[in-house]
Amino acid sequence: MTWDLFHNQVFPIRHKLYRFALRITGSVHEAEDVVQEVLEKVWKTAPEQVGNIQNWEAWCMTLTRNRSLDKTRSQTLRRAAPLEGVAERSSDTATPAQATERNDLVNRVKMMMQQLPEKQRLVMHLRDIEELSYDEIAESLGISLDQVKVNLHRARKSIREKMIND
Amino acid sequence: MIKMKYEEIHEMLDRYWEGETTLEEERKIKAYFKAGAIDERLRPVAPMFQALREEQAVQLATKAKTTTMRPQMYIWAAAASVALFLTAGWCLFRDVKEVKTESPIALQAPKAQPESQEKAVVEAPIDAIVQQEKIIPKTVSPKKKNTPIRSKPQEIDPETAQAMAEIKAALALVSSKLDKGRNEAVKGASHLDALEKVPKRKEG
Repeated sequence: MTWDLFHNQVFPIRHKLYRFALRITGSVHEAEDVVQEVLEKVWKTAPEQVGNIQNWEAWCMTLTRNRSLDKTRSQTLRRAAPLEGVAERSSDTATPAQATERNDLVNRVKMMMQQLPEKQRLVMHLRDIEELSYDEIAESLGISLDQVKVNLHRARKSIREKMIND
Repeated sequence: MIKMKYEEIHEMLDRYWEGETTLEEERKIKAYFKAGAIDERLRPVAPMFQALREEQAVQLATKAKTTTMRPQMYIWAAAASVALFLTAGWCLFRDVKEVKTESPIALQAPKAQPESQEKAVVEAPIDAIVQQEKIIPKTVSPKKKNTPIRSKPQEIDPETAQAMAEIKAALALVSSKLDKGRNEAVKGASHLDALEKVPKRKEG
């Protein structure tokens, strides 16, 4: 791994990796550790392996997912609350009461997303937050294109129904 | 500002829930809800896109590690300072002690070993010699103790006079060495001046 490659391809996606790790682990500290370990592992990639990697982002996402799942399984950490570190925002035009209500709704949506089954949660995260293509999601998670579409459809449908019923 | 008709965004949203939109269409939907001018009929789903927007803003914090001293470190720092101070003090005390132990030898040398007295005086440091000068008045006869030594050297007893003579010889020797060193330094400086002038002559 050369410095240029690391600096141009890997380092810029560190926030994406962090958000993805945070989605899986649910812990800021765990997610930071995961990103640190992934970046270190990528930096130490053997020169002969570097040539075989076509999509660095997808490969890094795969490493992040695997490392995050390892941590989650070993510590059985699962969070059902909105992600840590997310700033609450309110509209300038809304009254305090409306802003509070809106924030409650936003937090409920975040909670719904976090409570989705693992595959749906990760597919929705990579598509709706990281804006990856279906192919990149399939490569990152090691699943087929059809599975990506099905899980995305189920995830969005689940949240929409919960929002309507709430 | 994203200006989209309700029908257009509604149709796009229907496909979004089914997972049939492209990335570009999904960005348009997000931009519509971010703009703020949301159709009342679409308000129920607005929190969904605000949640996505907030999640997208989450970033890895770059922590600036500041090294702050913990209480335990303060104790160690204080202990190290005390140890350093004591060591320095001990070294100074030892030097002074050595000087003091050497000076009586130099002073007593004429009595015990007359043949080595010159060497002993010469080797004594300047401080020791000065110390000897301070000690000398004590050896002056009690009868003459109010009389300055230097003004009336003929009144000093022979033993003291001999010691003073030796001290003067030693000081003279030290002084001559200092003069010699200074002369050598002046000589070296003049050589340097001469060397500096060489390139200037060539340039001229």
